[in-house]
Amino acid sequence: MLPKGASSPRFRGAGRGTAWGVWLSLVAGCVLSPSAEATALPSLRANASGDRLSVLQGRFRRTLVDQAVCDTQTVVGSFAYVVHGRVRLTVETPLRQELCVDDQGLLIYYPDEQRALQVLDPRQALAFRFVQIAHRSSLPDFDLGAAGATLIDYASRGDTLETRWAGPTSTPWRDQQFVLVAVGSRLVHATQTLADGTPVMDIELLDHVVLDGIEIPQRFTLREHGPSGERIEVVQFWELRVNQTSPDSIGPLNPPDAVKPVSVEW
Amino acid sequence: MRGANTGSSALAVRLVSACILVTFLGAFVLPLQALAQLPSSPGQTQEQTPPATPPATDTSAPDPCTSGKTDAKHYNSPTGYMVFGFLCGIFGFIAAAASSPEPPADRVVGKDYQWVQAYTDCYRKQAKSANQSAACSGWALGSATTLAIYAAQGGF
Repeated sequence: MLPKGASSPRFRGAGRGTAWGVWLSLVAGCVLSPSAEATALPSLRANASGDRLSVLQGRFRRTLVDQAVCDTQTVVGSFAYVVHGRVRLTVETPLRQELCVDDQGLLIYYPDEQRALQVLDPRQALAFRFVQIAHRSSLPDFDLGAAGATLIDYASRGDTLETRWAGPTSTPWRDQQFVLVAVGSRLVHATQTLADGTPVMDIELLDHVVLDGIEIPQRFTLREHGPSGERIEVVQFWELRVNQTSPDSIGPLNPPDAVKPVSVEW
Repeated sequence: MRGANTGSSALAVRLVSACILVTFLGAFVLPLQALAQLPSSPGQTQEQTPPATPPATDTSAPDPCTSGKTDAKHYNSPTGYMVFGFLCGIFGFIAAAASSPEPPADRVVGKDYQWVQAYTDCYRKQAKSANQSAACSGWALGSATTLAIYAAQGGF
């Protein structure tokens, strides 16, 4: 469904604008035909299985390539996400680290060093983007509707639905647009652009698995286009579990009493 | 006639305000900005040194200060402070000075204790500095605009 060359090197760098033009032209010409049907939208969220997701757990491998600082890092660990609530991460590689973010802020615990950092800032709630993406991509609208984004255009052909959204007005993304491509109930691509079409970020979602009737991608590639370079985030999930509540994994992170978290001004 | 008098009074008030703002900007704020760029103590540079104890498990981690500054440029948008400075003058600068830029928590996953501390510190400094500079620019631009409008209306 997606242009295969979209992630190839020739689509990056100086020719990116042209590449996006080509991509959009392909989408406009092939996916959004003038005779596009407009029947899929009313049920976009009505039967969304992702709405039944309350807890998502699993293991992850995240590779982050940051061209701006010439850094590549791979992190392996496990996560537990209480939807719209707490996120717990347990990092195993490259070092042991436990992180918990909720409405109380962010707590980072280093078991090997017996040290902890604390950020008492509620704005940090739900701050781990790659975990949120796992949840949001289980929803055909990427949860944009709930975030306040406005649907401005849509078209469908067969079981493919493309929706175009304007960013939530009261957020920094108010001047941006989002384009989502879903095949059936499976979200396969999300694009974020500035009002003039300049790409900000795009996410390709792959290898969906159905758990308890909920479709979740087991892999995604996120490309973030910044002034100082491109950032590529490749995340793979496995051993995914949905709606299993275990207090040990989804409760608050409690370092040993001897460990006094050091507050960090965030 | 009354309307014209009111307009002249308003222009006069704006001129006085603009003069005060420009004076304040030149005499106090810009030097303050320059001071903010200086090391806070002899021997301390703005570039954070890498952690004293290199992490045993993540030796490939880039300099946290470089990452923090780069991320601040990437994620922090000072445009709003420029607009605020343009419209509200000193209040825009005060808001920028009081701002609390928020580093992305995503970036600290898999990073060691010292790296996180240095990263957040550099991110905040860089983002706050950018916000203050933008507010000052907006403030100066607003003042200049006010003066230009006044001059165009024959105020000088």
